[in-house]
Amino acid sequence: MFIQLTPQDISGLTIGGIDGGYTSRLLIGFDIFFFRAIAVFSTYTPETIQKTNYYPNKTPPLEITVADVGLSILEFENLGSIKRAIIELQVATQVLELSTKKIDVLLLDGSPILRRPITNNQRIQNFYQTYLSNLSKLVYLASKNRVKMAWIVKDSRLNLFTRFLGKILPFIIEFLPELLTVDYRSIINRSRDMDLFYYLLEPNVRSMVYQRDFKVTKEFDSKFSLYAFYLKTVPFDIPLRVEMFQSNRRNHKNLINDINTLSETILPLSQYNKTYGIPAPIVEADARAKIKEAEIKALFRMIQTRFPKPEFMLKRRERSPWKF
Amino acid sequence: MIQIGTVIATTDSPSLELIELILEKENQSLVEKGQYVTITKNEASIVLGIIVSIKKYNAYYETLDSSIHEINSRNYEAIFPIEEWESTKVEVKPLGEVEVNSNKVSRIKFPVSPGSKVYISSPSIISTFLGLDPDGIYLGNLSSNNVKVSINLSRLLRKHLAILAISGAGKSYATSILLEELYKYGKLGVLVIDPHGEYSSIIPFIAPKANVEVIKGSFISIGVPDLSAWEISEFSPDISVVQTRVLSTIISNLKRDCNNLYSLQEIIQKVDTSEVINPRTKDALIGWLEILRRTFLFSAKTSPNISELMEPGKIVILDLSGIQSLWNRQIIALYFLKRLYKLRMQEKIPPSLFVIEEAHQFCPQNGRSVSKRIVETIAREGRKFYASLCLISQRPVNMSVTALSQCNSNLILRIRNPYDQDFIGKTSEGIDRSTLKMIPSLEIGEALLVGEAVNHPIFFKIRLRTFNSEDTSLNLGEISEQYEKEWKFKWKKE
Repeated sequence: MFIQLTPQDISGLTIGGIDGGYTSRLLIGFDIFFFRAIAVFSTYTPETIQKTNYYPNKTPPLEITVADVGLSILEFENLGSIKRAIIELQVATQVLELSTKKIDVLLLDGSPILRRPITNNQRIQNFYQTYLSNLSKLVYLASKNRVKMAWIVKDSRLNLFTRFLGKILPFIIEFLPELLTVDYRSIINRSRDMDLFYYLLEPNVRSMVYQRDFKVTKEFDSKFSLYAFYLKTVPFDIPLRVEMFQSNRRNHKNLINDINTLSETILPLSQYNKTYGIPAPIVEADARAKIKEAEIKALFRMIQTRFPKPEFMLKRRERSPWKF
Repeated sequence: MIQIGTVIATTDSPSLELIELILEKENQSLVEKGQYVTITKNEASIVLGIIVSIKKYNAYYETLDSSIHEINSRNYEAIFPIEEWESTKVEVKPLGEVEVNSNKVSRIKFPVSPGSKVYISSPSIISTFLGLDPDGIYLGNLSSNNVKVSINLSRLLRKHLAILAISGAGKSYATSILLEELYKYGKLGVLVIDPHGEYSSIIPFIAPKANVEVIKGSFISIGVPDLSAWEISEFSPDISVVQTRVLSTIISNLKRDCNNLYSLQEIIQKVDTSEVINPRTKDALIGWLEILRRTFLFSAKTSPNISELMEPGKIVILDLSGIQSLWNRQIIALYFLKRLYKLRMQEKIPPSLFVIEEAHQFCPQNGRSVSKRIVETIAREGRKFYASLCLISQRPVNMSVTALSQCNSNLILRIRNPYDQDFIGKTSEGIDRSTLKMIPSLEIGEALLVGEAVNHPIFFKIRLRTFNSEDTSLNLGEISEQYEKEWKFKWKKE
């Protein structure tokens, strides 16, 4: 059920990380989003990093989107997260299209699974469709360019494995007498996969792989499937959830080989501290994509100087002259 | 001009006291602490400042944990693009504003704007701003910016100069540079009181023999007939007023009877044989005079002739290395300084500079010193008569506050002792806390000049001497070896 891995030598490889950030502000006249996505890719030598490149650049400008009037809070948040995911995918696609250097591994922050928004708002639905088509374009491109691509979920909230355990334990409990001494049902009901795997996995060990149910397009779904597994990188941090699309044409052995190779590439990039173990390219991309409060303040000062109209003013709660 | 950075906005900067900037990575190697920078204020004026602090920052090393990489065979630096995150923040102390067209210097009345570009200052702007004089005496070069430090002679010496540093920091070297320049200038008379005989070996290389006179302490004699009773009592402050009055009468009689040829021995005999002097006064006076006689500094004639000693462009060195007693050294210093100062007041000698090495021995703040009063007098009044002092010391805290505070220019080399640093801060005008903080980090041969001589404190490297003087001093091992050889030789001989 668990596979022992050996960290791979990453020298000579070019490995990229992609992340995006977004924040929003509620103005009197309308609401706006600020987005930013960045790709970071480094080429490693045995001793150090040969070169690190950034796309579009080291500090990409903020992209601003105005939200529709009359959106509910849930729709507003949906719009923000879908748009951010789209921008991340666009950056990833552009990097694969434009990079003159062969990229070996591309790691994206988060999960590719974005649930269909429950709304009648056509704009949000359109954005969701754009997301799916961008996702399929990226997966095709990565497959064509032979780039190993995976999504890294830092803080997984899934409970697929615990639910599975809950289902099978009643049938095998008679063989596990020690479990009868505790109220295992309530423990399993209150646990997430991450909690269990923190104890079950050792560093350099991954969990079994399971297929995830996620519909993109009919054509895409016939060619690719999404797989997930947990990977423990360091002793005192929770495991990573790694998700990756694989061609349906690949046989089981090749599929497992690919997953193991990718895991063994992720391990050396994540083992720099005993208590924190996510891949370095994701750390770097996250740091670069972060939208700082000071940037937003400076931008607002500029907007308000150029357009001194009430619609451009922040809501009163955000511009109180007192700092209690 | 080379652009090195951009002014940033922080809670403290830009203000009238501080300007913070972020350095451009490609020009980082051109920047160093103590360097002068120019910040564009507007089209008409620029602000000149000095770099007082340089801080590097890297978010990847913000926490202690981040440097732990014991799990991985790859180093931390081999995983993260750490270099990309390194930024350098520089703190600049604004010194003043310069009008671009007229070069007029004024104090800053309004800060520069965030986003202003920062450049390495050009030598001409720095010279103008600091008040350097291209025709002045050349002491060295600014530690950065490649500017010759030429100081106006009058500004440097007229209101006295103090050279302060720990032992071995280069005081004597700096002084020799000053003497070299003064010889070239050729119009001042210079007297060096040299307790360790350091200059007698150097100075002959600086100037031709005709312009240098080295007087060994053992050849100095003070002519008693040239001294009044009150002057004798200055050498021995324990002589009371009554005793001095008695001494005065005896000296008058001797001048009349001996045709101005007598020494302390004759005075003692006269006191001893006098029948009019109170026996208690007589005994005490004889006792004090006997102590003075045993210094062997006094005779019937003064040597050398002080009135002919000082000439324009001449350097006179009193080499007191052969004199062990501090009191004896002080007596010589008192006699020479007093006589020369008087001659200068009468304009019988050229404008003069009196260089006093180990000045804390001749003019201490605490304890008795017979030469203290004359040094303090010259420090207070010498300016009016063009008689200047150059006080050199490794323990400024032990020096007379009166004398040191009258030295309007201070040349400070490395000083480590916190009490001395504190004392310098209190006695030196124009030295602020940030400048004071930089003194312990001065390298050997690096100096800080503050006060009247320059518009702002400057850090500079003392220039090399123009003559080749080989360092003949031996290290401890060499000197021990030499001693052992000589000792064995003597032993064999015996």
